[in-house]
Amino acid sequence: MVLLVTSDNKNFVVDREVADRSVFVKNTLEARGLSIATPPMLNGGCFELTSPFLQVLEYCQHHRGEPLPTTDDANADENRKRTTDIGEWDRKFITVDHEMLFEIILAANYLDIKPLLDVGCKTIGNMVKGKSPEEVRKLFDIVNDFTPEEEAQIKKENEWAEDP
Amino acid sequence: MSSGLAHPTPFMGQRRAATNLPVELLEHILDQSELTFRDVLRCKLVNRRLQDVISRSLPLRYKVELGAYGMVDGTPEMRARTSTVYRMKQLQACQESWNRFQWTSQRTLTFPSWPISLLDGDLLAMLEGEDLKLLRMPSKFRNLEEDEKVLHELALDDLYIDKALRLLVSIKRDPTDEPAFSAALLHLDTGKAHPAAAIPTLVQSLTSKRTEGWSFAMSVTGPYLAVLFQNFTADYDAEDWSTRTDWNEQEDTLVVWNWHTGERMMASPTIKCCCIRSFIFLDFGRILVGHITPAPSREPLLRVIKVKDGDVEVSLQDADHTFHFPPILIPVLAADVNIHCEPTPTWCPGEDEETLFSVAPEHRIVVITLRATQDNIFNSDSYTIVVLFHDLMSHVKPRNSPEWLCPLKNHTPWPKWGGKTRLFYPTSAHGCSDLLSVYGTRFISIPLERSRTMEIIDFNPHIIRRRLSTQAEAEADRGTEVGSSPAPGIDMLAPWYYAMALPSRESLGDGMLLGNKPDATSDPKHNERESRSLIVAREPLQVPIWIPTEAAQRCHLPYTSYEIPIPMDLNMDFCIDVMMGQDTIVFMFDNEAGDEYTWTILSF
Repeated sequence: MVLLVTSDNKNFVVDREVADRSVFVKNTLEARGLSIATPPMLNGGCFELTSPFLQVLEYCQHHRGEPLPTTDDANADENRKRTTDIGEWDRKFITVDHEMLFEIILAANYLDIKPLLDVGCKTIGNMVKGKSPEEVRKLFDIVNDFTPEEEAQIKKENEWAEDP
Repeated sequence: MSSGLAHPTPFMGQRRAATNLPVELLEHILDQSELTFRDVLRCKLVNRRLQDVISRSLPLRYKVELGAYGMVDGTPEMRARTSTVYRMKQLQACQESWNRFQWTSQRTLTFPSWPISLLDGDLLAMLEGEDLKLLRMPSKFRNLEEDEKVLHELALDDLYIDKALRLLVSIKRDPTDEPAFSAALLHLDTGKAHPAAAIPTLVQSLTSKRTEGWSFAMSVTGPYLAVLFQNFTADYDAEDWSTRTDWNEQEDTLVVWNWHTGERMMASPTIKCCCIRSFIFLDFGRILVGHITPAPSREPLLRVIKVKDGDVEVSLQDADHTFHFPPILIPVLAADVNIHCEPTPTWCPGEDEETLFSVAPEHRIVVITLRATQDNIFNSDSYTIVVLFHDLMSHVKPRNSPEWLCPLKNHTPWPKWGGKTRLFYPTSAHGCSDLLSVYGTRFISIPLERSRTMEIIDFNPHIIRRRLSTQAEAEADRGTEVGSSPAPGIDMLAPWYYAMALPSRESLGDGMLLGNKPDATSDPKHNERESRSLIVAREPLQVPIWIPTEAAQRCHLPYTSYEIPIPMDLNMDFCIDVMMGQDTIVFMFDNEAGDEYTWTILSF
């Protein structure tokens, strides 16, 4: 069993096998021979981590024991990027509000859980696909900070790619 | 301790928004395969941060470049082996060398007799006697070395290769009285039976009294092998088509097998007058057929037929979709409808294919040549119609959709699809002949009127539009009016006509892009080049026009034309055919005596 401490000082006791889904935790534990890790400390960046961390734990628990992707195999890395399928369980798991989705992606990135990162990124990718810039802004609550001139300029630069 | 306070962040007090994610994550998200290069470009318009991330990201810029050039990235293995910087550089260099016609290696082969041959991508197969020589073309930009292999003891009448499936189909006539043919399914590496084929040899007998003069057109898509058995003897023998009565002797037969199981899927009816002139696979279940209706109407048509399960006969009257051609003005008789589309629409590179990038399916062109005559086949004209594959398919209902299953047959008259095509008259340099070859978005043809130049025409719409906007910008910068109206004398049918006119191969350094608006201030030498590159469009028409001009004027598909000086060592008067593949052009020549054939292979 491993004790994981989040940056907002919540303690989680989990199976080693579950904790090892995170390459970051795995390496930390292996390197230091410890059983306590305080992983989700983003460099100076910290927020309400408990709830995304719970989600991440749920993901790790579900996928415990599965072979981990090898870290330095660029080939496998490329393959993962291209496969478009998201498993049934993962799809349900990732159906959360946008804010949570970003938190999960950040946590997965920080904790180095590549499959989860991919699921998150693919989910966002699917949302953005085929959308106009305005639709994307609306979807993620993004403010348009271009001046009308700048916007017109980029539109013009992009014109060639759109069907007339 | 309350969250957040202990570790102040720039995002504090604000909802976590998508664009606040770290750069590497935004890049990773946008680099997902789900997102096309168009999606990436659109995201530039979302806000400044995304624009910044995309503009700085090399993988995303590479994705956009691939999209612009109509290419897809290589296999995962190749992507893992090479860096994005490298692939980007090679992609741009490759395009540049095509546009400037700067090939990197040239090779000449001579043959005492005409070899049966085929070019599939970068693999050239040639049959000399019973030896099949397989030549993998070198490519500087894809880092491919030349590779040569010979398969011995192959006695065959015709062949087909599918590089990705490692399949070699060898057609041979069976030594019987009735015309019967066997198609052996061999492995490209061993020349022995292909392990994926349950039955090594497929047999087809035809109900015809002709034993000689058969030719074969073949195509493979996934599990399907289609062979079109054709006999042109009657066509060649007929001296006067207007009084011809032997239409019934045309016996083209299209047969489709599942080559994995050996099961025959369907055969076109062997009824008389079934005139199938060409075909391509549209997808894994449908075939586009170039058809001529029975006499007396003899109307050329494009028809879409389904591959049926089970050994059934299919009648073209049951075609699910029919495309009609422009109205024909004078009484001519359709002699041929040829469809060219390479690589086939369903093609994608094999898993072990060593390619950095390859032609994307999206903007592949389909080139249709229509041949007709008033008297006989030796005095016939052909028109070339070019259409983007996806424009053609936009008229055909999606497969497996409820509409597709509806028994009502669909017709697309010419006005409905003609607007998004380009029609070349027999007189234009590239509309004239069957001596054309298609690969991806480009086609090359040998002009009938021998000249010192030839053209490669590229229908990639992105390149054209990107060039146009860059040019408009440049003109705007110089304070001149943005060129919107074509200059007098330039082919009025081609508002987006462009020519890359190059003085000669030796002085390629100053090759320039010429717009559709002559620039009075430019070097007079350049003007001269421009006028030369446009002569083609000014030539008077010398052959009968049987498609009305109005029909052609509505054909607006833009293209880029690259006019290329023919190398001095090639005598185009003796050029009899051309094949284009992935970074390869093969010119085939004969000599005056007709006792030697020379092939010049240019690799890019």
